[in-house]
Order: sequence, then C-alpha cells, then structure tokens
Amino acid sequence: MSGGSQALLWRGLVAAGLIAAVSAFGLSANNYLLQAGTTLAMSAVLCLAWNVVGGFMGYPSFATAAFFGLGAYIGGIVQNQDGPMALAWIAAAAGGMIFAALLGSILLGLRGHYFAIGTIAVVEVMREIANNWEQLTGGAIGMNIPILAGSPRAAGLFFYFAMWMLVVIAFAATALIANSKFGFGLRCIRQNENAAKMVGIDVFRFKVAAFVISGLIVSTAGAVYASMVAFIEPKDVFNVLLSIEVPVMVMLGGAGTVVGPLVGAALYVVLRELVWVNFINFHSAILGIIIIAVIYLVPKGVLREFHAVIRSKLGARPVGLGKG
Amino acid sequence: MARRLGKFASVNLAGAVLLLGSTAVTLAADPIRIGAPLSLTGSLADEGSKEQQGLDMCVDAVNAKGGVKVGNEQRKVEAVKYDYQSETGRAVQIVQRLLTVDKVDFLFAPYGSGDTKATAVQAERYAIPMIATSAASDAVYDQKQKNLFGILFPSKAMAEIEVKFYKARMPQAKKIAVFALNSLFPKAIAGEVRTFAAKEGFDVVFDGLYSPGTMDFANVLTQIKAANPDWFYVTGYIQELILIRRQMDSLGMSVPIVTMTAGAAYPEFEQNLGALSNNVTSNAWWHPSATYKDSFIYGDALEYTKAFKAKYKKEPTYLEAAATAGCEVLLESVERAGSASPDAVRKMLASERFDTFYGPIKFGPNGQNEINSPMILQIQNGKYIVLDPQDVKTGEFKPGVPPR
Amino acid sequence: MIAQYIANGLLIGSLYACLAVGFSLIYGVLNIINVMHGSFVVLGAYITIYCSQYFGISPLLSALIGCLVLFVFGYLTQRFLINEVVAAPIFISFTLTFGLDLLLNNAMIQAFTATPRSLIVDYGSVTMAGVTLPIARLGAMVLALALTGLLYWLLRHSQMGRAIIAVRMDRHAAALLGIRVPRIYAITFGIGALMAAAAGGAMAVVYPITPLLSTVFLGKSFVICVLGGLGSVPGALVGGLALGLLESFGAVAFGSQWSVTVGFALMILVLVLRPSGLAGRKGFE
Repeated sequence: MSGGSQALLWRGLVAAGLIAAVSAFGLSANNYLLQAGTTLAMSAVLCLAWNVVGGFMGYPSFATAAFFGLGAYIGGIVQNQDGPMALAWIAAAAGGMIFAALLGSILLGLRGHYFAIGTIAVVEVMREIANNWEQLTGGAIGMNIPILAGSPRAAGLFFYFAMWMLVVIAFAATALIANSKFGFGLRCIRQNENAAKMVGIDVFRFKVAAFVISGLIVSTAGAVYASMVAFIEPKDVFNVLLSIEVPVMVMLGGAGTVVGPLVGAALYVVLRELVWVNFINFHSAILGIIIIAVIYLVPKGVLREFHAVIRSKLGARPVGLGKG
Repeated sequence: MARRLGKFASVNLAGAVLLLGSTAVTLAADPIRIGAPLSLTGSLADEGSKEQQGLDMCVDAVNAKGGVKVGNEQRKVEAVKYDYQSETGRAVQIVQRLLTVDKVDFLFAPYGSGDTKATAVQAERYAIPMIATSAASDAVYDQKQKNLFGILFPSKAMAEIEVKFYKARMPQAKKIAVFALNSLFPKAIAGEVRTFAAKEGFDVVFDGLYSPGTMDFANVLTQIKAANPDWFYVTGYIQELILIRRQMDSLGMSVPIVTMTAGAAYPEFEQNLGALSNNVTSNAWWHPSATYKDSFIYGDALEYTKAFKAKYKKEPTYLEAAATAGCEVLLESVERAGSASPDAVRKMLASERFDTFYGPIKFGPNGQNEINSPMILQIQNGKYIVLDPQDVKTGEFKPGVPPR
Repeated sequence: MIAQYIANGLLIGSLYACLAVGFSLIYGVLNIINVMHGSFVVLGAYITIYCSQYFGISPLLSALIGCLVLFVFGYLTQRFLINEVVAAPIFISFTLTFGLDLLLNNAMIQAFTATPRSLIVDYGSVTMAGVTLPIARLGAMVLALALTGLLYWLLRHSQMGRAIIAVRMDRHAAALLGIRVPRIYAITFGIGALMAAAAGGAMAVVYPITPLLSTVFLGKSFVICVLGGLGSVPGALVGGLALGLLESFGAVAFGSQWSVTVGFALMILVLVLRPSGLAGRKGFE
C-alpha cells in the first residue's frame, strides 16, 4: 500500500481502462445484456454501500432492502407528481439520509445478532406500511411510474450509464473513506468498539455517519430502479432476500476491502445468471450449494485468497492481514 | 492487478456465456415462439405450474395437427419458458431476455395481476403482443396500453352477477360481511362486491382486510360471527381460505351463504377440507361442464377436459383453461392474419371475436375480454356444481354453511 | 368476547412457543441463527401428514416419528456441515445456514410440490364459560406445552441437559471440564430440529402446509425469541404467548392486516429498550 505518484498513475490508468471497457460494452451489447449490465451495476452499488457499514464497521446490517424500497417509493411518488427524474432521485437520496439518521440513532446501540435482527424487522415493517398506506403508495396493488420516453434502446442506455455513474460515486466514496481517518475509526470500531471509545473516537457519531452514507447511496439506487422498471410493489422492493444477497456478494469478494464488493457482485451475478438460465428447477438449490462452497473454500473473500496465492507464488512471506 | 483481472474477466465472461446461450436457441427450426415467464418456484409455484400445463395443452394440440397455417406454410409452435421464482423483478428481467435474446414472437404474461402489470410495460415498449391469462382486475388494464390482451373478463362483472344471483335466490338475506386478502386481485374483487351489494340494498356489517402470512383468523371470525351476517364473502388464495373455513367450523359459525373467491374453485380446496367444504360457493371464469364449442382445437369443453385428465390425471380449472385459450387465441390470430408479424396479429386480436372451448372472447378497447360469462359454483358433497348461467347449470343453490 | 380473544391468543401462542423454542436453544448454545429452522418445521409437518395419510398412523405418533427423523437430520447436519463455522462471525454462520436452507427448500418443493396439503381431522370443539375452544388446537397446545416443559426439565435435571447449559454459559470452561463440546453442539442442534418437527406436527393439524411457509415460520421465530429473550426456553414460552396475545388483540384493535406488523414493530421496540427480552437475562448475548 505504498503512496507515491507512480502507484497513483497506475491506479488512474486502471480506472480509465475500466470506464472505457464498461462504456464500450454498453454501447455494443444488445438490450438484454444491457439490462444485465445495469443489474450488475445496481448490485455493485448496493454492495459498495453495504460494505461501509458491514465491511469496514463490522455491523451486520440487513437494512439494505428498507432503504432500497424507501428510495424507490420516494422517487416514484415525486415522479407521479410530475416531478422530473433528477429531482426524484435527489429527493430519494435526501429521504434515505434522514431515515438513516433516525433509524441509525435508534438501532446502532445494538450489537451483533440483535442489530441484525432489528434491521430485518425494519424491512418487514416498511413493507407492511407500504402495503397498507394506500393513499401514499397505492398499497398492495403497486405503483405505476411514468415511463421514460424514447426507444427501449435509448432508455436502456440511459439507465445503464446512470447506474454505472452511481457505481463510480459509490466507489469514490468508499475509496475516500478507506484512506481517511473516518475509515480508520470505523475499522477500530469493528475491532473493538469499547476500546475505540476509550481512545477517544466519537463512536456514536461515526456509526450514524456510516449508516447515513450507506443509506443515501442505497436509496438513490432504489429511485433509479423505480424509474427504470416503471412499476413497483411493496413485496418487490422491500424484499428481505435482497438484504441477504448483498452481504453474501460482499463476502464473496472480500468484506472490508475497497474493491471486494465489486468483485463479489460481478462473480455472484454472473454465477446466478448462469445457474438460473440453465437449471430451471434446481436453481435455488444450486445457488445454495454455491453459497456453501464460498463459505468453505473462500470465507475471507475471493480477493484476499487471490492475494495470498499471488504472494506465496511470488515467494514473499505473508505479512500480517494485508489490506483491510 | 488482481482487481482489474477480476472485474474485466467477469464482465466478459458474462457476455460470452449469455451470447453462447442465445445462439444455441436460435439454431432451432423456424417455429412461432411464445415467450412464457412462469412462476415455477416460490409462493406462486402452484399457480405457475397450472399455467404451464394450460400452455402445454395448447402448444401440443396445435403441433399435433401440423402447426399453424401462416399464409402458405405450416409453422410449428414453441413455448420458451423461464422460471421467475414468483419475484416481480425476475419476471421483468425474463421478459427482457425473451424479447432481446430469445427474440420471441409473442409473450405470455406472468401469473397474477401485479406481475402482469409490471411486465406489460415492456411489452408496450417493444410493441409485442402479450396475452394475460390470469389477470382480471381492471386496474391492470388502466395504462392505455395497446399490446396487453386479457382473457379473463373484468372481475367487476363477476361481482355484479354474484350479487344479483344471491339476491334473487335469497331475498331475505340482508347483511353481508366482506373480508379480503390485501393483494391486488382479492382486494379488488371484494371491493367490487361490497360496492355493488350496498347499491343493491345489502347492509355491509363487516369490511376488513388481512395480510398474507396470517396464521390465525379466530378473532376476526369471532367479530364477524357476532355481526351475524347472512352472506360471508371472503377472498384470498387457497391456503388462507382453507384455514378460514376450518376456523369458522371450530368457532361454530353458521352462515346461510359463504362465498370464497380465488382458490376455492381449485380441486385442492375440496381435497384439503373434505366435508367442511360442503355448500361453500365460489365463482369461476370457466368450468369443465361449460358447453362452449371450439373449431380450432379440442372441439368443445368436454373434449378438452378429457384430454387434460388423460395427461395430468386431474380436472382442469379455469386457470389452466384460460392459459390454453390465451395461447389458442394468439395462434388463431396468426392464422387469420396470415402472418406472424406483431402488427398484423395485434390488429386481429384487437378486432376479432374468437369462439373457444373456454367461451367467447372479444377484447375490448382497454385490452380486457369484454364478453362476460361468469360461472357461479357450489361444492355439494365433494363435487363442484354449476349454479349459473342457467343454460349450463348442473344443480340448484343450497343455502347453509354448514348444511342444516 | 374478551375472554374469547384471550383464549385465541393463548391457543396460537402456545403453538408459537413450541415453534420458537428450538430456534432459541440453538441460538443460546451454538450462537448461530439457524435459517433452516422454518424448513425444519415444514419438513416435520410433511412427515406427520404423510405418515398419517399413507400409513394410517395416528397424528400424534406421526408427529413423534417426525421428531425422530428431524433429530437425526439435525445432528448430522451440525456434525458435518455446521460444526466448522460455529465460532465464526455471525455472517458466516447465517449465510451458511441460508445456503443450506435454499437447498432444503428447493428439495422439498421438488418432492412435495407447492400444493397445500392438510391433515383432515375433525375433532370438533368444546365450549366452556362462553369461550369456544377447538379441540385440535387445544391438543396442539397441550403437546407444545408438554414438550417445552419436558425440554426445560431435561435441561435442568439430566446430565446431558446440564452439559448443554454448561456449554451455553461458557464453552471454553465446559471444554476444560471434559465436556465434548462438538458433540453437545450436535445434540443441541438435533434437539432444536426435533422441537421444530414437533411444532410442525402440531401445525399440520391446524394449517395447510406448503414449503413456502418456512419463511413465515422463521420470521415468527425471530419475533418470538426477541420478545421473550434469545437463548432461553422460558423465554420462548413467554415470547410465544406474548406474540399470540399481541396478534390477537392487534387484529381487533387495528384490523387484521396489521396484526403481523404489530408483532414486528413491537419486536423492534423490545430490541431497543430491553434487548434481553421480556424474560431473558441481561448480558446473555
């Protein structure tokens, strides 16, 4: 992890290369692949956001679906009031921030399993509220959102680039946090919260801040999703399964690293597509087997295992725990 | 270095794999392809498999007689199926795939009003006709779409016929209790019954909702029992209805008319309840004893039922029949238009009348079938008896649940 | 009417208690959240239904067969699959059991299909002091309470039980005392699965069963354990009865569509205000 302008140049080139690759893919692929690429981007955004709370800070949050749904509905409601899409997305981000601040102050006092269970409960309660508060959300019937005008291809490209833009933002945020005092503080909290308190870290503020950053990114993703699919229902956007898949993806890639969420999301989404298309009756079972295999074979995440292999091949002795 | 490899490789891998998958499919012969998202796993697995059976009945029958006559050539029919796991997001994804990778000619809507509405957006975007065989609420058809065609006539019509029927059979019945599952279709039809009943002079003594996953109805039923209704109208899917009937029994409830909608029309309802299902009334968009004739496949409802029973060892319900009819109407349009192009077929679907074993079908301006032929059923001694329409009825209405 | 509401609440509440007690025990001793719990309940219910319908065995006996089968299944699962990750952070164990549950659930859907199945029994009801009590539910309640009580007694008074409690209190100290901790883990997991099967057997008499119910059962177990106190048997009992009464009165007060939400909302409240639950002990994390 050396500083220095050479490493920075190298990273800049890699980033530019990736951006070029993603753009090229988008412009050349057919609509289905475009959609798949957008879904991949969305998963990446959710993973990067979750990583802040679950990876860096070590708090097992299952609240992803709560923020996702919140953002989707805020965005949808704004658009249905004839608000422009950009406004809808900003409103969703703001809503996510406020909700995260409130929820965080209440729930972040809990630890471990209790925190996890609390966040699952929030998803369930939000879903039922959306189901029953008809005047606002349309209830169980769902909400139609104005469709973006233009050909399917144009719309597809728009959302593809919008989502990947979100990925860039989320990634930048993650990278900044990782290298800052804030990130260091989060890692201290993960290691030993009481000790962190004792060395003077304002643990409560840090926790809420992490939760807010995570929540606002996820809410924005939800709003983009809502604009994209043009029809949302409570059981669809407040889906606990989403909350469970995201940590699995991050774990696959390497929780607590900067690039881990991206790698994990990519691997998981590709695997899931392969399995789903080819094994119509057994896909959940096979997904289950994949998850089990991940836990047994690469529990620290693909990235760290890869690093370890590369290091040992290069003859270097593994030094400490490496990054993160 | 590892990072760049990881991301780049996986994106390319995804592309390569999906491309491989799609080429494999297009190497087949030149049949007419109907894309079908089916909920084969998840909470709607039961309904999804019924839809699949209905679809297969149509495809097999058409292929057995040589395929569809398109102008001068005979083309076979192929159904391209994917499981969307009862999840709306997946259904949308699958429709996208069917349209852009598999390049199907037509679409079948997923099960239920909610998912139909969600995927109809895409059918509209791509201008590909989509047949909905399990959505009956007019809320589904209110988006002014040109490509969505629904086989089931509006649930409002069903509600009206039911209210009129029971009012005529039991003029002394004055109080109605309505209890609905909080989900698009069950809630919609319960609302329609309530509104219409109130208009016809009924006194609505109870009007409530329940969420999916409710495991105990004892309290609500206690309240309803106390209100002493003459007619108890309850909606939901099969599981909740079974439980409600059982708990009604354990609380000693006795109501002259009990109507259970969506789920009670399936044979599993009677199988799970046994004697408790006696005299429960329900409704359906079709029943095997209907006398509709069909010149495209199967000849009439009786033949269809026989063929279905031979293949699947059970009686078909309106769900399977509607799926068969939906596919049939699509293929008949192709034949009448002499072409499989979406525009030609859409024009046919929008303007023609189809006479099928399922009943007459003509799509109205909003895409929903506007010919109403609701059937009122009652379970009597383990058998489903048709009470209405009068020209196909197989028995008379018997009041009292449980029977007196 | 109020008496009827209370009775309804307690009847379903004792079913809930039986449902959650296995989940609670596994959490208390192994410190893992067993996502397969709901599927265990469903599997137990199916065994009960099939033994009863195809072999003509009485429902009670069928339920006990289910218990036995699930005990073995749980024991083996823990011994060979879960044992590796018992001491690992919560995510690993949670995700592992989640993956195993996907497998189990898919297998059940293939084997049993999603069509609801019931045990058709008609035991009627008995009315006491203006309150109607369905006999099937009453029987389920008795079975649930009896098994829970039996479990509680066994934990306190048998050698195996005390070893389990020792491991729950401090697994390192227990190991030092010569207790074979992995075996205790496996046995506890087996017992948890057994209690799930018992709950399943009781449910089979009351509710039509499909594999899709496993998430509903799991969700309820969460709520009950939090309300009553994660990790303790009396806690599951208190939590179960509390949830039953809550849903009962919640349905009347807010309307049936809110009864499930009320449970979750209260769960959040309890989590925040008194994480050890209504009957749990402080610091028993």
